[in-house]
Amino acid sequence: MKMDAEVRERIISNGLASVLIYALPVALMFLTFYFTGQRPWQQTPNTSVPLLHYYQSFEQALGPLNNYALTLFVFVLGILEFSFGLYEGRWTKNERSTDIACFAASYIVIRPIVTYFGLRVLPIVLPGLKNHFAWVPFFWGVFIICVADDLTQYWYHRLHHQVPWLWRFHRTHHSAAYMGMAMASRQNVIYTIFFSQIYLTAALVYVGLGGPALIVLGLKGIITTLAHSSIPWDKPFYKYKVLHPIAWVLERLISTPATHHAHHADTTDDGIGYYKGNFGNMFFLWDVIFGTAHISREYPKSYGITHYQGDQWYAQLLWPIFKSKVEGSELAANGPMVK
Amino acid sequence: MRLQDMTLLAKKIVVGLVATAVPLLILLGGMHLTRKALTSKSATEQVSSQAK
Repeated sequence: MKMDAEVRERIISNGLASVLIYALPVALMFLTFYFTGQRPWQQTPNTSVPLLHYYQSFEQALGPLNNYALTLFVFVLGILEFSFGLYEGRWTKNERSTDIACFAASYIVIRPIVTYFGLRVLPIVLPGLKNHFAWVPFFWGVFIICVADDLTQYWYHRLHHQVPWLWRFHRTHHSAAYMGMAMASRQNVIYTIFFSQIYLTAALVYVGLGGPALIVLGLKGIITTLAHSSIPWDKPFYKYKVLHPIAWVLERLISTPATHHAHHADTTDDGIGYYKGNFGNMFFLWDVIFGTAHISREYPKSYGITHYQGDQWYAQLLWPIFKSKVEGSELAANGPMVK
Repeated sequence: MRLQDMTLLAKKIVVGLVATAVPLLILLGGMHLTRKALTSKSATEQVSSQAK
């Protein structure tokens, strides 16, 4: 199956525009320094924010506080979802196994790989650059990481939807017929291992942007988990007219449950679901900029993939290493690339 | 795992590498140039003010 010519052209033109967007925070930082005369690399490190400097080494930036706090947040959200019966009996044994295996894999497999990358690979790939850019002021560091991490994830995600041979690596994330906190980590392990933004951010932490990364990753974890959650925190913003201006800004800036649930819908026919777009993770702004956004302020009636027939959890987790036994499935040994 | 699966994985790794390397080069290059350009500008200004 070949990619649509129009889609290919848009990927190329949007990709070129992204080069400018990646450069934007650094260009603005340069202009600020140029006009204000600031030269932060000539200053001694600012000791007025000791907590942030404490986290400015790679090991500490991705350390236990960030990990455990987010894990605790996911568990609390999960308990709330169960308490309100938001899975509505659709969490079958196979789906439960898939969600739990994917969640565990992200801790057991991914963390050691990223840690190894940070401690062993980066000193070889970027020799002499450890903390080389630690002079970047905190505000600019946050701006740089926000754009670098989230725009890269936008592209990684978008390519897995629009490039036919990449789709099967991302299919697991869309196969569930429900939304919930577990969905954020429900990914094929190969998809997660090669998450480009993880390595990019690890490299930026290595060169000295550890403090900003800690803040951005924490915020991103909260926004993306809430966007996948079945708790519609954004509904009051659409319901009360006085909150509409805030809703207008919010739904264009960050991923909300409404826009991200639309991405997980099983159809686009109802004018609500839009799995062909809404690729943003933390920021929805990328979708607005690149024309892949669809905002309806409504929630889809059904989620998942219409032709999904419950592929085994191990095939969903480890395809193409293990194949599905479901005849005609995209994950089966002789299955189609895209059904 | 078949040969075509290995090829698919290799292609996927290349996509991942490009998606990581392009922004990394832009950002590291940009931060390096920011410091270099403004340091040389400051040095030039110092020299010209001393000459006066």
